[in-house]
Amino acid sequence: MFETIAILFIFFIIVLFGFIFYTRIQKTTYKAEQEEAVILRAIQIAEKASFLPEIQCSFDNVPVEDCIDKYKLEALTPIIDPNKIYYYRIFGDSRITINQTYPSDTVSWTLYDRPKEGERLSTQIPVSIYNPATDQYTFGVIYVEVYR
Amino acid sequence: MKSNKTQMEIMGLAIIVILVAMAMLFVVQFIVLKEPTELKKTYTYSELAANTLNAMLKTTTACKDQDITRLLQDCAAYPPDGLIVCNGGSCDFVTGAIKEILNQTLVTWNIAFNFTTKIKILDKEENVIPPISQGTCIGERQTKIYPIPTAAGPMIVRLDICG
Repeated sequence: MFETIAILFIFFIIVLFGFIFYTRIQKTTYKAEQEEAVILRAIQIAEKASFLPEIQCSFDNVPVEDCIDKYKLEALTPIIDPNKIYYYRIFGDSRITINQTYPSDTVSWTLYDRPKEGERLSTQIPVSIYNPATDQYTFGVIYVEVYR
Repeated sequence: MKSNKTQMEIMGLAIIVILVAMAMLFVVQFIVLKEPTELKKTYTYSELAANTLNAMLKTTTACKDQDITRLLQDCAAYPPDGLIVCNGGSCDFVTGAIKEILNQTLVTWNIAFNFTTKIKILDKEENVIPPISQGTCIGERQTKIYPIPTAAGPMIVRLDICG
């Protein structure tokens, strides 16, 4: 009888260890899935920023990829703030800046800025900045920082 | 008899412990130790080569307001200095411009890359401007190739993003 009790006792100890191990594994898997979701969201926001129709170049109503119209960008920047609720649905907690890199690296636009405390995921997307007045292109980079 | 029965029970328990340990080992091996997919890196690198090259080739320079594509065409058609003159020849100017763009982007972001401009002259491939690179390019890479027509034949502009 005592042997049976001892065996049952050991069996339940094994079941308990198994349960603890299972919850630990679930915790690790959940953290990994959360991390992946944050990264996917960062990629989504970066794609939306680089293809935003409000600032994308277009010729004869045909949008051009990897190109930002300088005058559209300058016109949109002051409009984003009063419409932050609308753009929050698109960009969430993030910061989007466009820097001109060549020929001059002193020009910069902050398109959207809604900071949050915590870690940031940064993405850089090279892009052409088109000046329709002079029909010239400069080299720029879109910096997208998504807050966790 | 009783001793045999007890031994059988203990052996059964030992087998269960071994099976549970093996199951835990498999779980640890295939779930916990599984390398996470580098989603962001895959996405960023796949877009980076194409975006960088497309934007760079369209860029207008201070050399008689010619874009980088035009300067490369001039350099390829009229080696070694090119026909367009601005603070030296078009070849030197465009090399400097491309280096400056890549320094401010890929070099600053610590990304290994290899940039080449090649043209075929008499069945021999030659560089239009000296190749520009950073780091070693072994293993996986994302490549963007841009063919540009020139008076001396088609020129292949290639950017490899490595890692």
